[in-house]
Amino acid sequence: MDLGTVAFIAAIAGGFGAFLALGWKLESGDPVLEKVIDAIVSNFLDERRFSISDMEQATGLNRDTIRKALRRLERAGIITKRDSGWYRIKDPLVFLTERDYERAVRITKDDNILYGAYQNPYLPRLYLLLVYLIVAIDITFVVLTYISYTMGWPSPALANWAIKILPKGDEHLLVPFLLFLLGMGIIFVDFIDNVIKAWARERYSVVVGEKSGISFDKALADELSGRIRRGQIRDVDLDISLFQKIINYFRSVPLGDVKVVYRVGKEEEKVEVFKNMPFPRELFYVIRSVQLGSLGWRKRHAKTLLYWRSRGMPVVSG
Amino acid sequence: MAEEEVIERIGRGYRFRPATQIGLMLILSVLGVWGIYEGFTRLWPPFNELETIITMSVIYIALLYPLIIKLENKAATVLSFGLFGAALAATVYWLVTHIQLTREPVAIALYVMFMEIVGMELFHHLCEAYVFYERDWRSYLVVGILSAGFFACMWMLLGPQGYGLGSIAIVLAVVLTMMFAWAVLPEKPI
Repeated sequence: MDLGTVAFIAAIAGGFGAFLALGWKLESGDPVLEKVIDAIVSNFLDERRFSISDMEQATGLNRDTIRKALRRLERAGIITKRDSGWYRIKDPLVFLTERDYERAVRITKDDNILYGAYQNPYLPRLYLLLVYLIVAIDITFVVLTYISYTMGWPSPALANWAIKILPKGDEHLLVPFLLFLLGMGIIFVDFIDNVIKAWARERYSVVVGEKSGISFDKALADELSGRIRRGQIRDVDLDISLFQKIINYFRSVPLGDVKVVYRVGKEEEKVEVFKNMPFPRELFYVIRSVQLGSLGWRKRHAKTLLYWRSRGMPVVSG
Repeated sequence: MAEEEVIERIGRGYRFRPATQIGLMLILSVLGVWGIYEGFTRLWPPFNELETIITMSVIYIALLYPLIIKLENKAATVLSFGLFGAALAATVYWLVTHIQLTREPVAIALYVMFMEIVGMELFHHLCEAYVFYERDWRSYLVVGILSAGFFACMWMLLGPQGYGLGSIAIVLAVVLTMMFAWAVLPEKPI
């Protein structure tokens, strides 16, 4: 093995080690955060709100330290800072944006929102995945142009054309330009992906409130006009298809369908299926507990849920 | 009470068991690295060189890891950070030693933009727990600095030093930088 290769391996090992150390530092337990979470679980779960002074009393920590920990919880989406200086506690299974969360609270008349999320936009419309073809075409073009440049295959014409469109026809720019094109392909698809998610967010949200039951959007720019009051819920069923089961092994957010049978009038029953919802087992469980009026689990597992959401400590211990 | 396991074991019911995840990761890593070795040794320089094969293997493992390993314990997250560092170091080192380096400012601008994109996308892929989904001043600062760099490089490419597009260069550079910024500012995965 020559010296160059040894230096190369050393560089990779250096990069690995440096970021391993950084990750270790970031993942080390934060006793202040743990104390703040403990205080929230022990003192403020019922009121769902607290002030810095309340937290000072409950933890004995100083204001700045508390503020720092609260900012971390804010970023994790567990609490929201209100204009009045109060902090509002959000349930850990609420994945809505701040704006949509406010809307849900307003529409459900300040109900306790137990679950809130958006339907995945891709699975019901697989054609949207075609956007990833852009990257595939981009990669194919870059590889073919490079091969055309270095080996003249399938024809040098492609490389010649690419060189011609470079600034001042400078051949030295071809390789960096191809790498740039590769990067821009990724950025473009990422951008479109964000547009699709933002669009889907406008349309398909499902919210479960402690007293209001299930509220959901039925159309574009809807204001949660779909309602199933908790007393109307007859049955709830979880349905994870084989396809969803397989992709759930690999996606960061698991998906599944949740079917709710509800009563309309005295005899009539209707079915509403919430398709491709994030964390469907948890949604199923939340709806069941709302239906049965049994919400003791929220307190029993508050700490687990808060840590899970804040990533302050591992939930999956391996 | 049994139903409460859903909450107690939140998120775990959808995944392979930890031993299966580790086993699958090992199998796919070995198969992938073998495939890369077999494939690349048949190519021409610099692709058949050992350094290229190592770089490709490191990038392959870094891309594969978050897809297979869904453990949320400290070791798994720390290893993810390590793989990010290794993939980044391998890419930079390979580019520096294998690409014909030039002092041409446009070429440097193109490399910088490429590395900004690759770095951010790899970070989103491997260090998801630390991506600022709740946007605050830190996320805006990071994105602001990266976008300023991206804009300067884009101006270099489209402006007088590169294509010389005149005032359109500014418009295009602003539009493309905004696209970059929005792509880099992550949307929540849910």
